[in-house]
Amino acid sequence: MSDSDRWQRVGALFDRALATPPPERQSLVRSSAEPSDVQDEVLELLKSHDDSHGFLEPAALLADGTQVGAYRIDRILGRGGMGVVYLAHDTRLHRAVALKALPPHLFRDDRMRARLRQEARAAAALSHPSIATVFALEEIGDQIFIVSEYLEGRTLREEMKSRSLRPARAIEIARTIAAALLAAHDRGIVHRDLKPENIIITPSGGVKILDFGLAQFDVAAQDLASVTHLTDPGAIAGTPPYMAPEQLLGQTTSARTDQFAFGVLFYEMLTGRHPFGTGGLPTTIAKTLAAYPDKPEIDAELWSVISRMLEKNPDDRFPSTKALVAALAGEFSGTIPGKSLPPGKYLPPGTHPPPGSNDAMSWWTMHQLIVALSYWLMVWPAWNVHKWTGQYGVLTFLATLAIVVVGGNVRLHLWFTARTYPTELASQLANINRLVRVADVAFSLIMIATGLVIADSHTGWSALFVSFGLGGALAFLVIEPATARAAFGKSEIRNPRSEI
Amino acid sequence: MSREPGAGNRDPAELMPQVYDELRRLAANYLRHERPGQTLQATALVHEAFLRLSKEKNQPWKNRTHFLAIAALSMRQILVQRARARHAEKRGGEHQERITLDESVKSASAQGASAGQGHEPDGVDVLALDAALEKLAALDPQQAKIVELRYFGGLTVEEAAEALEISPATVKRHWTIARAWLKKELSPV
Repeated sequence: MSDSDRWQRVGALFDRALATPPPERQSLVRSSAEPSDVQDEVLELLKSHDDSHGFLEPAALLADGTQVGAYRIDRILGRGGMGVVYLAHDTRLHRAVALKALPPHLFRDDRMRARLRQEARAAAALSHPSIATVFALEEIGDQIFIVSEYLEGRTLREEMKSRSLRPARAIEIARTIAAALLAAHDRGIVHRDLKPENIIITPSGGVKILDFGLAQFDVAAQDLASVTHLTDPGAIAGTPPYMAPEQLLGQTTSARTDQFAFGVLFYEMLTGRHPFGTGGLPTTIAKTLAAYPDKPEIDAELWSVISRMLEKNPDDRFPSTKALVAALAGEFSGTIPGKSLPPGKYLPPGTHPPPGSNDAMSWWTMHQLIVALSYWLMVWPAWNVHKWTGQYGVLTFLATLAIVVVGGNVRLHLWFTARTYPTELASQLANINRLVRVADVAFSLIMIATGLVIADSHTGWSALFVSFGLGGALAFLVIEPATARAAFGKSEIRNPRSEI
Repeated sequence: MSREPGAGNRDPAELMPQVYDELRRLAANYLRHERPGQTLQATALVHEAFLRLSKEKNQPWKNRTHFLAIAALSMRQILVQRARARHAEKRGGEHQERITLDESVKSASAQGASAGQGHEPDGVDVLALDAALEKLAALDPQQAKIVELRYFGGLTVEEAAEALEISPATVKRHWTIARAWLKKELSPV
């Protein structure tokens, strides 16, 4: 019997012995038909096997089947420079979970451990259907894990690779991402590493953002002095092809940094290519800093949204994520001419409803009602003066009436929406903001003009019309923007196409 | 069953010079700042090499697994050469230094079945391991290959299965017995 043949027989008996419960192994080996020297070797190997747990095991990669606290490792899902992710089974709650651990060379690095804790806290502060849920932070032995929900599905990268996304689907995904980012940004948490690899499309078509790995608490929003030193100012963190210019330059990052990364991946979803080229990393970085992407074959209004997200200067992007959500709620036509996509009729589930109960919001709602009533109040005076304004009197009255009907009803609609369907307010506002503005301007101009025309003959009526016109101008130029700013956060909801 | 020759018979520097060179460079860089007792993490180096080289345009390897298999072989040779050089340097010195690989994870083993049984997550003598692997290759070349992939390249069971085009169950079975045998072989009697 050659050495290798003998070894085969040792192996076969060893496998059989391992398949039986430990107390029965010895008797199984001894009762086998193999010669006694083979039996001896198998018994030695079995003894050695009991001692060899973890021996020669690849670094920090926990062997399949290893029990870590209450979790049993099933297999490795993935690994990168910053972490290893395992699929594990929670033996207490009997569910599949994802365990994220540090890679071997960062295992005992206190800074990295602190960072992982920070990541867990950032993600745990978020509860949103489109953000992967963190269940726990476990520190077992000198290992540290983030335990989060296990998501089946494919990454957005895989989704983009395997088939080109229809524009309607890309916009739908983008709206969901925007809503999730809004929820995070509202809590002062910036993702900072948004990329197609960090977005999972679940089998049911849902969208989940993973890995608030580099998430950074906005110090103003969250008093967490302990985490501020974790990311040195100037230290570069992120994935280069999705990093915003300010991130590449090591400058201050904010919610608008996520807007840029989002813009890059949105562009990729629609066109199948990266906006700053694929000429290698240095080229991409240079282009990210200095070049503007070409306009792809997409809807012009959609392009105006995306190109604004991709502005180099954060101040030129959307002033807030809320404004971005509103802009994305608009109606866009597909790349196929004549084929229109459905408008964003609703904000995706889980979007925080506008704070309809707070004071600013009540004022804004009240403002809508008052303006609508004021419009209608002027119908009778307008009819009354039409005979004094010469040959265009009737025409002017009809114009006024038309504006009153449109402007007044739109205001009433906003008032009604704010009271009844607050979650839809942002998208409604984005759609009709322009109409409101045009009506306001036209109304004020007609009032003032009428007042001036009848100034000589009917001073009293003239004063009424001029003051109403000026009052209206004051309302839409100053008062409304102010209440809107107070009601909707940092800035008024602005739709790029509604700017006059 | 494939009859692959051991590490000594194939030269990774000729097979895929860029992988070999990159790993050697990284290892040298890493070890230059070596402190007493510091260990070299092969898996970390292989991963880093992959991150660097995967950005290059002309990639001679078929996929990541193929790369890892080449890297494991390269890593083994780099470490063995280095250990030999050290050996010669220190010959006649007051004590012999061992290059250790910190591949056994303290916590993993501490949390595992052997917790509390005095399992020593000690480093492994690379030269002794290399010699033992040559012996194992004579008995079963595939088992030796699996250890090389897992230990020097950090491949998972699934990745090793893909690299060798066999089932993960087979890899696991081979890995279990090879590890038990090596443990016995390398234990001081």
